[in-house]
Amino acid sequence: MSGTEQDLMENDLIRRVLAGEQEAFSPLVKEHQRSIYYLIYRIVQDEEAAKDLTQESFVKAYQSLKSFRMKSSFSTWLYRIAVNTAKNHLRERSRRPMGADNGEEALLDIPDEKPGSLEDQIKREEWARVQKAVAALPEKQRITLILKVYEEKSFGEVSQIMNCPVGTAKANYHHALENLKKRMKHHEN
Amino acid sequence: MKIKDHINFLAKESPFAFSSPEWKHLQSCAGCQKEEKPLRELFEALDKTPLPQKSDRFWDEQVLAIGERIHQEEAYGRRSWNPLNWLPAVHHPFSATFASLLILLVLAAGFYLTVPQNPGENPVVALSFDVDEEALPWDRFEDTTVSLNRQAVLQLAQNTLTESLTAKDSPGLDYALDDQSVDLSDFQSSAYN
Repeated sequence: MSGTEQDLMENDLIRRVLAGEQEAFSPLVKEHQRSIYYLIYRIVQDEEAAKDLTQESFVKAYQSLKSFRMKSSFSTWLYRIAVNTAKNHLRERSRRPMGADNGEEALLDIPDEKPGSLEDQIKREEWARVQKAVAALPEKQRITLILKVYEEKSFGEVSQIMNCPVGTAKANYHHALENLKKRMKHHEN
Repeated sequence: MKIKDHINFLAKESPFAFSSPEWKHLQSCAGCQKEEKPLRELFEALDKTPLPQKSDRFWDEQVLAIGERIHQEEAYGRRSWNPLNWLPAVHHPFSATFASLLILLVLAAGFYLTVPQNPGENPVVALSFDVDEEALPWDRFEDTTVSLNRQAVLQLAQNTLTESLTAKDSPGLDYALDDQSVDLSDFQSSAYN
């Protein structure tokens, strides 16, 4: 389905929800929940928090659906809600005392895997190294990197999601790559 | 450009990359060639980052949980708008509104009945200098050696009453007539027939 077709179909669902048909929101959740969950997971690096924040993002989207003007795609609008929800969560988490609940180490939460071969172990260590370098990036650079590299968003979409000019989105992406390269090199040394 | 394209471009595998101006520039620029290797390694490393695998059941439960949270938030929102939230028995908005109006009506009626209608005005005090002749204690004057005519006694009583009423803590007519200091001789000349 092309973006325009999907937009038309989703806008129709949104109109039905606004007309009082609450069930019409369910297809929108089914369509976007995976991408939203993984986006949030990449930002907060915590499975349980990602699960809860995904739910929270959809509830917020439902409640503020009236404010969606259908000028951008529903997906971009939803991404913006999810990114803001995740950012709020990170700020709240940073205020909590370390060691309580999930602190800094949650950013390096490695998905459970059974211990495998030496090659698997090296892969996991390599991944942890990259993840640590990504986690150390400033928030805006990190989220821009995630949106560009993993979510494959255009700079125009990134600027809409991050509520910043396109030039700022490009600069954040450039700085994120530069910082990552430096950090990776530093870890190698 | 997708992440695979980034990697392919940097790994010199993509036909798109081969034809791009960036690729042509890369071929001829030593500085960019030096930058290319760490950037390619970076994208490869980023591409390897694993994600938690979730079952279909997880996603189905998420849909249900989101629906449930929306339902709860809506129910909470309705209760928030209820003007009688503090009354747990009142859940329906119409009954809550009716109860609110009833309470307002009772309060308004109570206010109307208890508060004076013209609270700025002082109470009216009747002051009359007309002396009721029949009520005067004529017997008090029986012992006087002088004979007072009726008009003189009335004048005396009225003057005394006026003085006592204008004085603070006026005891009234009885005090004026009981007061031994009242000197009737002042009136003798005018009182005699």
